[in-house]
Amino acid sequence: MKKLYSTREFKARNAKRAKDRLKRQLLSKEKAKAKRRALNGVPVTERRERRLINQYESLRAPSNFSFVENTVSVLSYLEDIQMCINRRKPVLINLKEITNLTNDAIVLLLAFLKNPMITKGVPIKGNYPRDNELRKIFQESGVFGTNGIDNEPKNYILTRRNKKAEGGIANEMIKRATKIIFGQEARCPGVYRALMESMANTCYHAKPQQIGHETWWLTVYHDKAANKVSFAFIDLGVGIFKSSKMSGFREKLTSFFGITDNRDVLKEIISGRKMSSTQIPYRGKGLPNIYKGLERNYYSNLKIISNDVKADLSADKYEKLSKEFRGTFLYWELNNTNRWTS
Amino acid sequence: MDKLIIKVADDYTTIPGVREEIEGDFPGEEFLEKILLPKFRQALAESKKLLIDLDGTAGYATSFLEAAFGGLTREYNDPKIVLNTLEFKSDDDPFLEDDIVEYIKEANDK
Repeated sequence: MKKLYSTREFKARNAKRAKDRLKRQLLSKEKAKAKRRALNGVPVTERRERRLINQYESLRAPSNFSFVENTVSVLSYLEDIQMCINRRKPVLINLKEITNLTNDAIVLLLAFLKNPMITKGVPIKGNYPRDNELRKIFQESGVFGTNGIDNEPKNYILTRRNKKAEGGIANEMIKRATKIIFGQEARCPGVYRALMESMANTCYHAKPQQIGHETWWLTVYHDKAANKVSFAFIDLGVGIFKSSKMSGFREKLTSFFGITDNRDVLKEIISGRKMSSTQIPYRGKGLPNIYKGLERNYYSNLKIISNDVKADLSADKYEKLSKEFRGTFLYWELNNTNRWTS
Repeated sequence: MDKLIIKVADDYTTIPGVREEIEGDFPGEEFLEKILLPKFRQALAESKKLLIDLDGTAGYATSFLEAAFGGLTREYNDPKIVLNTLEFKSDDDPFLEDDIVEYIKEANDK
């Protein structure tokens, strides 16, 4: 054995191995030094936070983070989050680079992230937008951690959720909105009606056979620059076109008029034309009346997104979405040209 | 002719709900059962009009109105009796009376 260790071949091999090992050690020392330098002056708590975040899959949100304006991209983003969750991979919702944010995207994110059936116990974290104004909106919304459901007055955004139709919540939101827009607490019967109908639809139709199981979310956001208040209402149920009240109605629309496209189905629901002339058993008066609220100038800029349809009812524009949204989303705005009563 | 009066904001609530109790507080079905139907019966028995004062509330959901007034019509199975007996006051929402009349007329189509 001794003879073997003293051979020339062994000495050469051993010297090379020692040289490589030294090289590796020096390299990792350099790395460690660089790492130490980078963390120089960073508080321990932040270092811990950074270490934690590195374990998460960072998903960068679309820069135009608006469900109303950039629907398909936002839906794709949610799909990416869902895929990570399905793989049980912790998710970091990276909002640093967003340049536009609307309350509809916030309420969608809230409904999504606060639903344990969706998040399945997978850790989800998020960071705030770099832009100060957007950052404030997000912080007040309570999407990440802090509770947005309290009674503290907020500058930008108010959020409520429930499973039932709560007149008290609708009334409170209207009072706050009217104080901003009209300078006094007022009543808006049309907005109240739209809110109550939306809540009732969630309660009754969002989950077939399960009354009052689905949670609705509502945010009210004050756009100071435009002096308008926007209402964004959402539930992640089955959506308008798959709800229980659609059963029978769709089949009749197809057999009577050959209507299969959900855009046309929605047009018929809100107009009520063919229903009244043929006695098609569509029982819901909620959506037609929400549309009437727009016609009666109780609110402006009414939009509906559900399943594969995005409708801008103010502009009479109906779009077929390439990505399906499983749920119902309603949006409208209140401004100082709308009808109100003191 | 004397009138009986129901002021919803005073006699029931300022924040009316939707159709059924399972969906939330102050539903239309409860309003029909506890307030509207007894007064309506009284109005018919005394051959009086029944004035429904709708003002002073936050507003009304369609399903509340349909459950209350459509429900009343279904109770009597005749829109004419209901329309001849009821009168409405709605200064807050000028469209409300027309909506209710529509629900009464369509009540039995369901």
